[in-house]
Amino acid sequence: MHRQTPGRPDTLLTLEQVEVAYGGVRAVHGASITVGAGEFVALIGPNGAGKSSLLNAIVGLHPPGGGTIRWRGSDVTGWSPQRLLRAGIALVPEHRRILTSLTTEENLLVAGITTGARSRRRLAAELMERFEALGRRRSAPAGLLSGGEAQQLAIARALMSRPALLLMDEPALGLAPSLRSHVFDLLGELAGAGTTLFVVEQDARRLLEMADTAYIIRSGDIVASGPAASLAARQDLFEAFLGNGTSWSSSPSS
Amino acid sequence: MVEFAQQLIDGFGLGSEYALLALGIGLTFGVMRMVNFAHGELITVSAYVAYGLTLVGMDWWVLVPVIMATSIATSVALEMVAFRWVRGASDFAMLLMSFGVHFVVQAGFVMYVSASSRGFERPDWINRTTSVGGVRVEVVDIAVIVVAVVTLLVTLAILRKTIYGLAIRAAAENFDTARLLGVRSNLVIRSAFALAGLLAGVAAVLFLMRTGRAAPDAGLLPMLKGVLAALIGGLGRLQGAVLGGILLGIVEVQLVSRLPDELDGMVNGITFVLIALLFVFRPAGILRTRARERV
Repeated sequence: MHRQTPGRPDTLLTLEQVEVAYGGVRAVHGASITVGAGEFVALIGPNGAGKSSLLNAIVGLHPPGGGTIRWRGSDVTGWSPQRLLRAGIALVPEHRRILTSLTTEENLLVAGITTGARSRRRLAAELMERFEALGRRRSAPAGLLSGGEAQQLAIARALMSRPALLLMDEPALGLAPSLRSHVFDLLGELAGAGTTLFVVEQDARRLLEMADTAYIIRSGDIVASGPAASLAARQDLFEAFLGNGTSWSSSPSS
Repeated sequence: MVEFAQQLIDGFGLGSEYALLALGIGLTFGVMRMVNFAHGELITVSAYVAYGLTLVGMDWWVLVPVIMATSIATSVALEMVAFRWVRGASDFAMLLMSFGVHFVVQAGFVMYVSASSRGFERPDWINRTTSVGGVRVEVVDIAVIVVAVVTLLVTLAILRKTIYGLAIRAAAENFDTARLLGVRSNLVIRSAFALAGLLAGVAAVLFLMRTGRAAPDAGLLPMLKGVLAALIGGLGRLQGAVLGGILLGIVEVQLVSRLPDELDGMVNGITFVLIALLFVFRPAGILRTRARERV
């Protein structure tokens, strides 16, 4: 997937020594990460390593307790999720967070609130064409979608704001193996189309095959980083920071 | 049979007013998780505006949009001045704030206007009657039902077809997710209060046309009935609020007609006891609790 030289693209997102804490318990300690335009960055680590906490801090759901978050060079630390979305950062949240009382189409339309009515409807129609399952179930309550359909909806919903950077929190979590494969294919498609991706996953092996750059996080610390292909080749990192070799295989749920 | 049909129309008319209030209470509960016990103040303020403007000779047809605008403005103003400070706070903080607003507004009218009620002129046609299929009904009952049903349908359309309505429903289900999708907290909460104000404004017009009375406690009983109706339907649920309101209206009218005259004063108390018993058997209200059916 290496579409450009890692580390040298125009920088979109920069985390400088970001700290995240919940009620005095530090979840992330001084994380520093850079995501360049068009880059596919992977953040991998075991359960409870601080991956989701970091993503929630980036999108403003849980503002960081320290450090700086920069977007296109400007300090955006403490910005609200709505403001960050308008700036170009969208999140596909963990567990998808589908709005079950709304229909599939309504989920998409409400996610287009940052755009005008006409372009909102056009974009929703385009996405329902692109994700055929969503088109077929456009009028169904989203609570009735299958796991795979709901994941497609979560991704399509994030695309409604035409984000410059798409953050994804364990997009394959809880899905059957065939659906997981479909999600990774989708990631490949998005990356191939030039979408900048920052993906958190436990299925490290598969993700490293696709990503340009990777960061390994454990117990809140970034313990290794570099070109994904180089990290994938280092068995010592796998064993030291992610437990035994089984952590690198697919883990259907956490 | 004719008598029962008349009671049904009366109950439906009264219940429609309750439904308007219950829907507003449900909407604001949906986005803030706060039961707004100050919702009746929208009727109180509207009543005094109606009283003041009828004193200077304003016609009812002009008064109607003024009352509705007053109710919307009051609802949004109360959110901006009072309720925004308890957003995300504990249930108790929100409860106390809504009671606080209720008492402050009530005391304000007692102190600066009058503790006693003030009557004002109602439209001429209010007491006329007509016959519908052999059933004699008051024109005001038909007007109330038509206006309430149209208002409820328009509200439904706003919630289903407009981006503001979708944002309110999204926030009612999961506020954080709605924010992640770009919904602005201020916008969605104020939209909900504005819509609740519009519904209360329509209810106020219908209520004031019947009573023609402005008093510091004018909104108290309608508010309690609105809360009760919202609870019957399951707080925060659109269809539930409407059904709860209509059911409450029908039950009340049946009680009034069936109880001996000397027990008329106990109708409200008996209604509350009956609803309490309902909750013993249906703790979540008359509709089953299913997340996808919420507002």
